[in-house]
This record gives sequence, structure tokens and C-alpha cells, in this order.
Amino acid sequence: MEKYQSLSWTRGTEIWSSLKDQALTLLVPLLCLLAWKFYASRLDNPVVLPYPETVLSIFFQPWKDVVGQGSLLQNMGISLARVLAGFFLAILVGVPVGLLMGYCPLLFKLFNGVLNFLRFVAPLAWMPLTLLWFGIASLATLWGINEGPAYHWLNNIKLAMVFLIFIGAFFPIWIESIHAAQSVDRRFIEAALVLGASSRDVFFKVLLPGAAPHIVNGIRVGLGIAWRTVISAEMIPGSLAGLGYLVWYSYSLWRTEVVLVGMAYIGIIGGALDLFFRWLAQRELHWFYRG
Amino acid sequence: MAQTQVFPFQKKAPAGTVLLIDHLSKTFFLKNGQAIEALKEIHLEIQENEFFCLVGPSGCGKSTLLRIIAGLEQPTSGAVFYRGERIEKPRREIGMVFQHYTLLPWRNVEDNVALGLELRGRPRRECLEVAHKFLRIMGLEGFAKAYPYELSGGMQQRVAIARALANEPEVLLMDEPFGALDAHTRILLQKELLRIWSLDQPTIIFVTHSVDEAVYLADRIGVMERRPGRIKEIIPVDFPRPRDRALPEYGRLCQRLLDLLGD
Repeated sequence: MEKYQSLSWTRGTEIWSSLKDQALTLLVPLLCLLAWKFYASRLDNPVVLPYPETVLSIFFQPWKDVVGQGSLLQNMGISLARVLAGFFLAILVGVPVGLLMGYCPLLFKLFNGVLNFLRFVAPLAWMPLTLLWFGIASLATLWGINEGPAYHWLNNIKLAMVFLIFIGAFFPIWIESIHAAQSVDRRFIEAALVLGASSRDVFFKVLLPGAAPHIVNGIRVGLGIAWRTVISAEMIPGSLAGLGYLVWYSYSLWRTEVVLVGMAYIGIIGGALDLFFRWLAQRELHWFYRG
Repeated sequence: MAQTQVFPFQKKAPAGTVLLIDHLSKTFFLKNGQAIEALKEIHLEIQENEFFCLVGPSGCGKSTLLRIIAGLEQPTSGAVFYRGERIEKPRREIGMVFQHYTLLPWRNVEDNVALGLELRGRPRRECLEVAHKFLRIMGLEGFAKAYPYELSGGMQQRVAIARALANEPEVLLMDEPFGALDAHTRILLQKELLRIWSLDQPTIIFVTHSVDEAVYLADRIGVMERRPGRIKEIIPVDFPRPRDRALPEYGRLCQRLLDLLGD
């Protein structure tokens, strides 16, 4: 009986301490919300500081078209499609180029100079050149699609934006892939060679899987930059959709509450994408994290 | 633990030279230009079905010699011939077991063991069948799906040996394979290795710095010295296996090797 009581007592404290943990993480956001509410009421100027309840009501109804430019969800989808296009292109080019440069000193010498110099040019600095090269051509132009439901989406994925996102995501993915290839234990490569591996086998069966944990780090950084780049790219004149566009357009209407909701979703989606990649890495690369 | 009894077995008659190490030298150059003679004028003939041990102090070049035989490094002069063919790069007939297991950590046990066959483009089913056969031989049934990080050092080295054997090499190079293991596991794996070797007696070149290990395992022992790395003497070991460490001649041979190494 006594034992039983002591057990339930322990369990009680456990629940209490986990509640306490969760309360602590919520503490700062709650205080911010209170301060926001307090100052918004005192200021009473929703353009400078909108009321939290207005912002929250828009936030929780993302399917509504608030400023006549499509719903939040639609704009989110368009931004996401742009990011993924540029981002996957960056993976497709950055990972093999980085791995080969990390593995083969000659390739490293040949390409490192140019790429390391380009790395410091911010994606937005490419904007003028990009517009001159690609103009307003989109994936729809590229594939010759002029109508139908696919057209609406494809036409919103402008090549210029995809290129800018590619530039943003490419460099961290490329640099981490070089380090990733260099971090693969040479002894694994030798073990494969002794078993009869060709250079192709070494690349696909040793270098790529062995480098994966570090490549994932580069991919996560690249994704963050890609997401930030799309938001800035959508603020350029001539852009017609996307979360960044929505924020900018709402600002021109002085709808600050929509600006805030847009900002909140930008942060949330970025965080969610990162969480997804972390989850994927933990699941697929268990040998690295638990080994 | 797997059964580790070693039965006395009939040694196959030598069937000719399988490896010829022909006046082989290897010189390294340090950053300051200083030349280090890692190996100097090594001349050795390894017979088919032979269990050959190389002992020597650390830094005598025994690992370098093994890596050159494996085709992982090039000699400065001289050459290694496998059945008359010069070795320039790794080849399937010559397998290797490393001191640090080098199992691919992202592959589970069966996929590690199947790697050699997979690289030769064999169908997946055949790869796994052969892998399981060698896992059984190494006493690793039930660990096929485990990952290297879930295994002890001794188990990992068993998997590495299974991986080398599954590729069916004619020559097996072993570079201090038991060097990182505790004494108990080490003795266990020595017995295991002899049991497996007795099955079809591949040629083995086994590098160790343990005199006892060499006397327990080898048909012949090559004693090396360092700076420059040279073979000082080759000593045949003719008492029958399994060898009893308590026998006076066993101890005497160990002592003789220690004296040679100590000079």
C-alpha cells in the first residue's frame, strides 16, 4: 500500500514537472501577447500596431481572401512551389558538384576559386541580371502551356525567381557537400575498393551515403536561405502573387494586420520545413545519430 | 558465443607460389624533404594455402607492405605479382580485413557482408544467400539486420571477416585484425579464424605485433625490423594445430621471436 502510494506520488510529480516545462515555453509568448494587447489599446492606431484579436482572427482563417489577392493559403502554395523548384535544382547541382570537389583535389582546384568568389554575391544582387536574362518567362513559357488550371500555377513560377532561389540555396549546399565528402573516412573507401568497387561504386555506395549527414546540414541552411530569398524576390515590382507579395501589397493598403499574419506564416512555414528535414534525417540517418 | 573448437586437420600440400613480392622498396618523403625508407628490398614468396604471419615492431612497415599487396599503395621500386600478374590496383582475388573493421555504418550486417557480390552485379537474392551463409559460418545468425553501431568490437570484426570471405578471395590479407580487441575475444577469434581457414585453406597473410598470435596461427613467420623496414628472418612453425600454448616448444619459439625483435 505504502509502495503504491509512493509510486503514484512519483507519477504525480512527473506530470507536474512536464506541465511546468510546457508552461515555461509558453510564458514568453504569453507575456508578449499581453504587452501587445496593452500597447495596442493604449496607442489605438491599428495601422502602426494592429490589435492582436484582429490579427489572430485572420491568422486562423487562412482560406479567406482578405485583400482581394487570393487567400493566404493560395499565396503560400505559390511561394512554396517557387522555393521547392529552386531548392531542388540547387540540391541536384550542389550535391554532386560539392561531393566531386571534396573527393577529387583536381576538381577542387579548378572550381573553388570561381565559386568561392561568387558565394559572396547576395542572391538579390543577381536580380537585375536575372531580370535581363529571364524577363518574365515562367515555367509555363518554358513548357509551352498557355491555358488550363496548370497554367495559373506554372505561370506564377517565374524563371527569374527560381534562379534567384537557386543561387541562394546552392552555395551552402555546395560548401557543405565539399566538407561532407572530405569527412567520409578514407578507410571506408579503401574497404570498398578492396572488395572490387569502381569509381562509380565509390561515389554512389560510399561517398554519397557516408556524406549524407553533413549534406543534410547544408540542405537545411540552403532551405532557410531559399525561403528568405523567395520572400524578398516577391517584393520586387511586377510580382503578382506569393506570401512576400501579399505582405508588400497589404502594406501599400495600410492593412498592417495582414502584414503581420503574412510574417507569422513565413516564419511558421520556414520552421515547419526545417522540422521536416530534421525528422527525415533522424529517421534515415539513425546510424549517424545513434552510432 | 559460437562454438570455437578447432579440430586437427590435414594441411593441404603447397601447390606453388601464389604471391611473389619481388625486391620491393617503398620510400616516403616527409614535408621537409627527408626520405624515410619504410620498406627496403623485401623479397618473399607466399605459397598457396599458406598461413603467413608478419610480426614486427610498430613502424616497421608491415601495414604498408600489406597495403601494397592489396593494391592500395604503389611501391617505389620492385613489384608484387599475383600468379604472375603485376598488382597495380585492388583486385577481387585479394581480400582484406582491416584493424578498424571499416564496416559501412549505414548498412546493416547482411548488406555489409553482401557488398562484394553486390559490386559484381549479382542479383540481390544471391547476394543475401551468400551473405547469410558466411554469417552462419562466423556464428552471426540472428544479427543480419543489426547495424554496426549496435555490435561490440569483436562482433564487428566477425562481420568484417565474413564480408571479406563472402567475396571468395584466394588471398586474404589481415592487418592486425584483432589488435583492438580485448584478450579474451582475441583468443576466441584466433580459434575461429583457424576453424574457418581449415575449411578451404585460403592463403592468408596476417600482420600482428603479438608474437603469441603469430606462433599460434602461422605456418611461417616473417620477422621484420624497422628503419629500414626489412625481413630479418623467416621462421617455419611446424608443430600441429590446434597448438597448445602450455607446451615448452611453444614458449621457446615465442622467446626466440621476442629475442629477434629485441635486437
